[in-house]
Amino acid sequence: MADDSDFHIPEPPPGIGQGFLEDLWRLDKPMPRMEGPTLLLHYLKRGFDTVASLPTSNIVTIITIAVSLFLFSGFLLIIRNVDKILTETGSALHVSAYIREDAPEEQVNAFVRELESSAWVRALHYVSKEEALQSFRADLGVHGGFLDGLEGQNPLPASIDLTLQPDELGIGNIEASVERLRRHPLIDDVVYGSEWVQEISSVVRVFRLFGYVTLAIVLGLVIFLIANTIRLVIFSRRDEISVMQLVGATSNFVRVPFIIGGIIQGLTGSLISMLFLAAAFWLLNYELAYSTLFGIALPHLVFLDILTVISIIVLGIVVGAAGSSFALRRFMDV
Amino acid sequence: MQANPKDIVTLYHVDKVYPPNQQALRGIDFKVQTGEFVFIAGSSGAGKSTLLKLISAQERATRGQVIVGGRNLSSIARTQVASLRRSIGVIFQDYKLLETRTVIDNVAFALEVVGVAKRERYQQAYKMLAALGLKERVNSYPLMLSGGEQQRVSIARALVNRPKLILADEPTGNLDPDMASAVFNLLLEANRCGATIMVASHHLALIEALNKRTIVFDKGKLIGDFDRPRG
Ligand SMILES: Nc1ncnc2c1ncn2[C@@H]1O[C@H](COP(=O)(O)OP(=O)(O)O)[C@@H](O)[C@H]1O
Ligand SMILES: [Mg+2]
Repeated sequence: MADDSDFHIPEPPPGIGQGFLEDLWRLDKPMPRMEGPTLLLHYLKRGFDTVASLPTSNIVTIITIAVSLFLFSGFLLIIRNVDKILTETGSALHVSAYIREDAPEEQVNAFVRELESSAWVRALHYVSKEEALQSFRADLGVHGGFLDGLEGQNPLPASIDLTLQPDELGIGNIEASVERLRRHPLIDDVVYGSEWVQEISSVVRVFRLFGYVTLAIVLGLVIFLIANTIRLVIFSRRDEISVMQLVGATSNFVRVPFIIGGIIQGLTGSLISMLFLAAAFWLLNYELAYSTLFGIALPHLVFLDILTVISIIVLGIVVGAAGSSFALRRFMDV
Repeated sequence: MQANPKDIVTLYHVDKVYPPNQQALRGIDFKVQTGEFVFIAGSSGAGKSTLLKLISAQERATRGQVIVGGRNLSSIARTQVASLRRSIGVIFQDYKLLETRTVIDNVAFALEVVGVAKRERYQQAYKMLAALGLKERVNSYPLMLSGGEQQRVSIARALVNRPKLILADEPTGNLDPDMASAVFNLLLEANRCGATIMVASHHLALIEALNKRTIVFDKGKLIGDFDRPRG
């Protein structure tokens, strides 16, 4: 501690004469700034620093994100393949809609044209009462004479035979479309597929709903988890942050590295989930290729389409950014 | 109120009350002109640190106006605070160096966060540290240095951005007399280069020895403003 009695007029530090700052102080030109790619690279580096500075909690977060997204995308994969198998068997796609006896002809024609132009209808055939009778007669073959006794009376209804477009619907939605058809005022009854198709399609629908509910919960959890990790990072770097703010860092300069840190977590997690899903898928397909069920070769499975894969990765990025923004707003005064 | 462009700092009827009701400053009026070297004197608890925090926008005045470099801090936007602080160098009694970074990293950090390119910031940091006699210490960590050396690093960090205004809060509080003189030598030198300096200190002998304008506070009130005490 300086004592009041022995203070003297300051001497320059050893080896430093007066005017030592003068040359330094006057800049002949402004200092070059980071901009464009250099600035981006700087932010990325600092973003990696935020993740690297607390490796354990960051790794735990990334693993949790990976597991959650793996489970969710596993759901999607199962749904997609059930869809595919059902639509390939074909029976799910044929629907016969019987037209009311009293339906006016021009309304029926208009309805047929409307269905023809619907995206979910692949093909359509209008079966008139006469056609129905003819084909019934043909079906009866040698017993066809049995119908002669009708004497001009035709008990068979006209119908519309539809082939559905599976891409537009997904198997889980077939029932809903059929139901809509059934309730149409011109339609008497609808017959489609077989019992098991109906059952599976409603199971798939429940399954899909369950998948999205799970996704919502999981996303909330993941955002919370990322926010918590970023909070820890912010806390461990509070001195640095306060110095940054005191020397005039803009709030973007302080925030962006943390946002990038969150994005890195989300992105890494979603990439890992996709890699593991691909690996699991490959193994399963490999197994199926060499096994049979009751002597029947099992169907070849398909992976998620590229758009879904990209969406899941983007989801990881968005969730990461959201989590860290949330933490910044909540825990940092910038 | 209208600020004179020659005044870099203007306080007008300033009160500061810390919640709930700790009155730290009461009815403060004074001006500091560009290029001045001013002591803020007063015993502990007089309000010196609070005053410097108001000027560097770390705290807001409860009443009255604080105008720094033409900006009224009571109505300043967040984004403007950053740009204000780029023109202010703050030196702390406890240095506030980052222990996990080397000396040169600490100094270059002040340039990094305002976006200066990497090569340039290390060159500037090195020159500044060399000028402050720390050439041999650039790759050391702060905890390996003596108190005086640490204080010089923190001064280098405050100076490296060429601030127009330097605020030093008890910059020699923990230093022996030789170290303290070295620190003041640096501040005087920065002042000669054109920086305005405001130093909070309760060290009367030192204030007397430097013979500069001294604003004296007591219990939150300004009780004296002595322009060059010994003529
Ligand atoms: N953050 C704070 N919250 C509440 N009271 C504070 C705070 N900072 C300072 N004070 C009070 O304000 C008064 C002035 O403090 P300060 O400005 O630190 O004085 P000095 O730097 O002259 O010692 C003191 O009574 C102190 O206890
Ligand atoms: Mg103080």
